[in-house]
This record gives sequence, C-alpha cells and structure tokens, in this order.
Amino acid sequence: MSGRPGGHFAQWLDRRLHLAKFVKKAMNHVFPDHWSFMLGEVALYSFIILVITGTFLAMFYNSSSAQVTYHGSYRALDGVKMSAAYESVMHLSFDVPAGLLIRQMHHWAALIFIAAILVHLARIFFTAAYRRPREINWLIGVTLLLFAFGNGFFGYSIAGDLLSGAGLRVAYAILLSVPVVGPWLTFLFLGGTVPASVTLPRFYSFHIFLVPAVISILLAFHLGIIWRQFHTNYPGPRRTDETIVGSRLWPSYAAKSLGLCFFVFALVAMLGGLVQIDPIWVYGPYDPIASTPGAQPDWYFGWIEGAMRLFPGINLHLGPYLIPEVFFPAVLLPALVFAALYVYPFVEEFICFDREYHNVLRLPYQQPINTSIGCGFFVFLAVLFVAGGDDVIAVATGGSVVTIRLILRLLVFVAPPVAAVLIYMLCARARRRHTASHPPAPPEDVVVQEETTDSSNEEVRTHCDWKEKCDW
Amino acid sequence: MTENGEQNNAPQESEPVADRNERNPKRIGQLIVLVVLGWELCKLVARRAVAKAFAGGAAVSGETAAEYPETAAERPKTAADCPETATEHFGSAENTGRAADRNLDPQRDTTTHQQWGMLLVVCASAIALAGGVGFLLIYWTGGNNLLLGVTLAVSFGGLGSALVLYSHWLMSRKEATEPREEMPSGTVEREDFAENFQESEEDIHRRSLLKWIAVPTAGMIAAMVVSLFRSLGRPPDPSLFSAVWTRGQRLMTLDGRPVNVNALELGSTTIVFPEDSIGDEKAQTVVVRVNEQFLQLPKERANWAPMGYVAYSRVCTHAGCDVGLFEKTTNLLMCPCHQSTFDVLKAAQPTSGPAARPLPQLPLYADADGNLRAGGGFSEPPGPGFWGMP
Ligand code: FES
Repeated sequence: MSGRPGGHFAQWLDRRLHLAKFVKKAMNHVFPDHWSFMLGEVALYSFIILVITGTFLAMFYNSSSAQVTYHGSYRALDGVKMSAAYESVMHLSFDVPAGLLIRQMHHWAALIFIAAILVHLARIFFTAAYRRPREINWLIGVTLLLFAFGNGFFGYSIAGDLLSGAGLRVAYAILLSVPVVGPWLTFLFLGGTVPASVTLPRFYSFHIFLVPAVISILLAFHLGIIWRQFHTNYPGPRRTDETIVGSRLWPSYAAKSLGLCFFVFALVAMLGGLVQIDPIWVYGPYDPIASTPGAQPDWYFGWIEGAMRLFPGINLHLGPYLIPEVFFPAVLLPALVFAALYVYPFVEEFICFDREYHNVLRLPYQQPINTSIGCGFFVFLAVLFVAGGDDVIAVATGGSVVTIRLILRLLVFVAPPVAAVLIYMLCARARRRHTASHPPAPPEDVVVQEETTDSSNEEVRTHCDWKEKCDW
Repeated sequence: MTENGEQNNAPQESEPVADRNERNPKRIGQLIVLVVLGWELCKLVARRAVAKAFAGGAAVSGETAAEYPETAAERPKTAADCPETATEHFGSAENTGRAADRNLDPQRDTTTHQQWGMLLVVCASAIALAGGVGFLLIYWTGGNNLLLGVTLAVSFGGLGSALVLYSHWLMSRKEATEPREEMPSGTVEREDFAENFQESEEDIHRRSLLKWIAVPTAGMIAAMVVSLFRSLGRPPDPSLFSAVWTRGQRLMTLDGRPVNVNALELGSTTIVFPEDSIGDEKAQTVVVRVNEQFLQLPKERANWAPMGYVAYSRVCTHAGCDVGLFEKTTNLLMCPCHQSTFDVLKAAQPTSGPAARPLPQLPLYADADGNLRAGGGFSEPPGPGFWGMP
C-alpha cells in the first residue's frame, strides 16, 4: 500500500469528519455467508427500485377523478369517458417513452418486495432467528410487512381502472364494517362512498409519501439494529453464541451484495419488459355500473379474499347495532394473524423460560414444535389463498363453487393440524437420527481443547446448545 | 482548444439546432476532430488501466510466490477449515482487522487463477456495456418497451455477474471470526451511567414544574392534532342509510328511458335509476321480471311487484360489488365478487355464499301510462353492513 490511503477526497472528508477509525470498523464488519441471509436484501433492493421507478411515475400521475374524454394513442379506447387519473396512467403507458416499462417494473418490484419480505420472514421463523436479542427487529420486520401490504393496496387502487375501482369498493366495505368507528373512518378518510373525489388524492399521498416515509424509517432502524447486533450464524464449526463468522464487508461482502442488487434490478427489468402486468387498458376505466368482473386483488391479499369467500354469511346483531359478516374474515382474521406474529417471540420466551442470548440458529428439525406451528400456519394461509380463487378452480374443474367451498371450509380446519403433526413427526425423526449418528459430546471445556485438532466435535457442541436450553 | 471554446458558445446562439449544422459545415469537421480526440483519450485511459491491472496482478503473484516457500510447509494444514487459522482468528481478532486474518488461499492466488477471473469479469462487464449500449440505441430509436426491458436486464445482469465473479475469483475468501459485543452493558458502564444521570438530575431544579408543563402541553398538542383529522371529511351522514329513491320516481335506464310494464320479457333484467339521479352508484337497482305465481314475497310486500316486476338494490350486501349476474333457470341473482347468490323469488334472501343480508327491495307500482315507478325507498339501507345499520 502507498503511504496515502484513500486519496485526496477521503482525506478531505477525514479532516472534517474524523472517519478513519469508524470506516475501518465498518469495513471489517463481518457478515455470514449463506444465501438465506440475502432474502432481506432482495426486499431492500426491490424497495430501492420502487422508489426510483415510483419517482418517475409520480411525474406523470394525476390523481384527479374529474371526467375526461380519452384521445391518446391507444385507439381502442378513443373517445371513452374516464377519470383523469386513469387517463394519466394511459398516457404514461402509451405515450411516454419507456413509461410502460417503468410502470411494469414498479408493479413487479412491488410484488417481489412483498414476496421477499414473506420469504425472509419464513426464514427467520423457521430458524428461530427472532429469539433474544432480536425481538425488536422481528417487531419492526412484521410492521414493515404490514406497511408493504398497505402500500401495495394503495398503489393498486390509484390507477383508476375497473379492477382497482372494484377493489376499492370492497376495501370500503371492509373499513365500514369495523364496529363503532367504521362509518367515521370511511367518511373521514375515504370521503364517504368510494370512490369519492377525495379518495384517490388521499391514497396517492399515502402511497407516495406517508407509507414510504414510514417504511424508510423502519428500514433504517431494521438495518441499524442488525448492524449493531450482527447477523446470526447457522450452526457449524466455530459458530457460537459469542462469535460471528463470515466474510468482511469490504471487499468481499460488499461486492457480493452489490452484485445481488444488480441481479434484482435485472430480474425486475426483465419481468417489466417481458411479462405484462396490470394491463389497465384491457380492464377499461372504472365505471360504477359495469358488472364487476371476478375481480382478484394482487396475490398477497389472496388469503383475505379467500377468507371472505369461505366465511359463512353470519351477522352479529348487538341490540340496535350490527357487526357485518365481512368484519370477521377481513378485519378480525388479519388482525389476529398479525397479532400472532407480533407476540410469537415473546410467547416462546415465556413458555421456555428462555432468557439466553441466541446467536446460533436452530435448524428446522432441531425445533419440531416451532417448525410444525409455522407449517400449520402457512398451510392455513395457503388454503385460504386457494379459496381466493375458488371460482377459477370451479371453472377449471367443472365442479360447482358451492361444493368446492365446502371442501375448502373443511380443509381450512383440518389441513393445518394435519400438516403440523406430520411435520412434527418428520422433525422428531430427523432429530432422533441426528442424535443417534452424533453421540453426545463430552463436557464443554474438553471440547474447546480438542477444537484445535478436530473441528467436527465443535459442530456437535453447538448442536447440543439448543438441547440444553429449550427444544420448543 | 479553439474548437472547444466555440462548442461552449454554441448553446448561446439562438438559431435552432437543426439547421446549425447545415449552415456551418465547419462544425461537422470540428465534431469529427472531437470524436477522434475522445477516442484517443479513451484508448489512453484503457491502456493505462490494463497496464496497471496487469502490473498489480504481477505484483500480487510475485508476493505470493515469495511467500510460498515459507508457507509451503504449512500448506497442507491451512486448507479449508484449518483449525490453526481458526484459533489464530480467535485469539487476535480482538484488536483485529485485516492483519489478523491475512492467510492467503494458495488456490486463489495463482496468476492463472487471477487471469481467468479477470477474463470472466471483463466478459461480464462487456455484456453489461453491450446491454447499456443496446438500451440507449433502442431508447433513442423509438423505445420498444419490451426490448428496453431486456437490454436493461442484460446490462444489470452483466454488472451483477461482474461483481459476483470478481468477488469469487479475484478476492480471497477468508472466513473471518469476530467476537460479538456483550449484550447488556457491563456493571461498570451501567453504574457510570446511573451516576451521570443522577448528577444531571440534580441540575434540574423544581422538577415538578417540568411535569406540570409537560403533561398539559402534550395533551393539548395531541388534542390539536386529533382535531385536525376532523377537517378530513364530514361525519357519517344519512346517505349511509338510504339511497335517493323516493315514492313516485320513475324507473329510468342508464340512457334515460322509463321502463314500461311491457318492456321486459319473463326472466330478463334491466338496470334502473331514480329519474333525477341517473348513474348514481348507490341507487342502482336491478329490475327482474318473473312469473307472478312463483313469487314468494312476505305478506307486507305483496303489492310491491306489479305484473311480476321485482326490483332489488344492485349493490351487494356483502362487500358492495355490483350484483351483476342473473341466472334465469334458478331465478338467482349472483354477485361476481364472492359468488353470493340471492333468490329473486324470495325477496332476495341469500341462498349461498358469504352474504348474510338480503338485497334491499324497492317497492314498485305502474302508473297510468304503464311506466314503473318507485313506491318508496328501499326496504333496508342498501350496500354493505355497518355498525348502526338497522
Ligand atoms: S361483494 Fe357480493 S359476494 Fe362479496
């Protein structure tokens, strides 16, 4: 190395900010090498794409619901009356160079954003990475998911096409169904029966300002905390609760992570260019009278849609008041699901009396109860998701919606426990096999001495850690 | 240099860009000179870069070559998960950094390996560049969205591959181990903090005053902020409970024609609105003509359906979609959103699906001209349910 590390600019900065020590520490920060730690990064990078493409889109979008007559280059809709919002999206899609590409990239990035968050969450759950000291980040992560859902809905709704208008009306009914405050909420925030003239401007302001701001702040905390606490490590040689093993931020991890960033960009660009998404000109502008087609929300709302279909038509009359049927599947159920996600780490901690710090992950088979609960949960959501397309299934199979719904109603109660028990048995068997093939380790201090000669013993030791604590 | 000066002045001239070239053929010559100069510059920079890179590679290989004799004896041990390096990490990691884990991977530090790596990285970067150039070309020549997406993806994919290949081939893959920070602060730190806190506490005189100020102020600010929400909209009003139908209004189709008692055949439907608010979403009503004998309306609605014309709100009571489908053979109205069905003959009671409440019925009568008119408002508030719905 030359005697002048970092060049003139770095020195200029250092003279003003005293950076050398800090940057050295940052450069040496250790990140574990495992593909599953990249899932959160995929979400992060798709969020960056969302911000970039979204800024571009915002320069063309007009949230007005004033009626205009279309005369753009999409001939099939020439002369059709539509909202200014829909017209602006049409203009963006057909008359702005690369406009359609950017719009489709935005939509695809949104889907990937949410999918990545979900898979990331599943990874955290099935490896028990939410345990102490990472509960705060779990809470932040679940909140991020919630906001991602919300912003996905807002974004989907503001295009002003027939499907989003239909979705908006269902959302209105859901909000209206909330006991006591529902009518107030709908009138204050949506301006009464949707789509009112204030609905789209408000959704637009939520979509481009409020929610992204909250997501950015939460993201900063999420990353800051992971930086402070380091990642977890998968069990393996030299991985203990007191150390972090992996590659350093500079240069190896930075190069890989940046590479991943570009791969995500490439994937989104490819999808945005090749795979059509949300073709609003096919749906046509929103028209309150037009028969709503079998509207489907974006995939991540599929489970709520399914719950709304499966839930029987039961009203709750409380004296002069009414809790309508949509409240239970569309408000109560998601609330319970998120509440369960929020409290899970604390419940586990409470049940296991677990006050330890955990920096080494548990593999799914090492924690049969946890894994089976998680699988049951996902199967539950999956059945609901399938139910969200029961009319499609009915058409495809030639069965009747009513019978399919009956089967699914049964499945939604039966499948999760069955899956849970099955997974429990599989995990327990895998665990038994593993213990059989790895005889119990000698006491710890002996192992530490042996560590220098035989690294496989170390593996046994870390594998045994979880058994002493709690095999939840 | 003079060319450059003139180029800079060019934008200040007021003539349109297009004919500037035509008037000054000299400029084309200047452009060519500039392009050639630029090309030469690029070549120079590229040559320098390549020379530097190879020199660096040579230096590294020299370094490793120099080190090999020393490390040769240890090499069998340092392969992969060598415990010795591990302990070395472990011990010296505290005051760490780079120096502590400077174990070179013999497999990765040969010149051939690095040259292969360079080749791959250069290829990937070339693909990235090609993609970028393709994107620009396509953009400036019309901008087909599909091709734009593909070239963009090629460009980004090339970049990503270049980086990953770089880290894989040209960076040593040392595994680093660091101690984690102890999570709770140590007792010394905590006591220190407590002491400090205590001291600063003593600097505050009249603490209770602070509380007296803080609590009401915070409350007031909260009240002000919450009040502002009121500006967002109006309180829920009677429009929740009723649609605009009143007694005597004619039933009008969307194109503004009244519906005559002879207009519909048995088993057909039409969408109607009150005559003074055609197109009103909430008031939209579906009129079905069915065989009078099969109607099973409740007693008090016996005269709501003249000549088998029944009218129901077209807004689904489940979640507010348009109940857009009518099945003639079963006399069911069906909502396409979640497939609730309502029996037209039995006052639109839900027969299957998630809806719990019947579609509100509109009483009808035929006037002297034989046009259908509303006999009053809907039997219940139309649309999805809410707290306080009767
Ligand atoms: S909105 Fe009609 S069934 Fe749900």
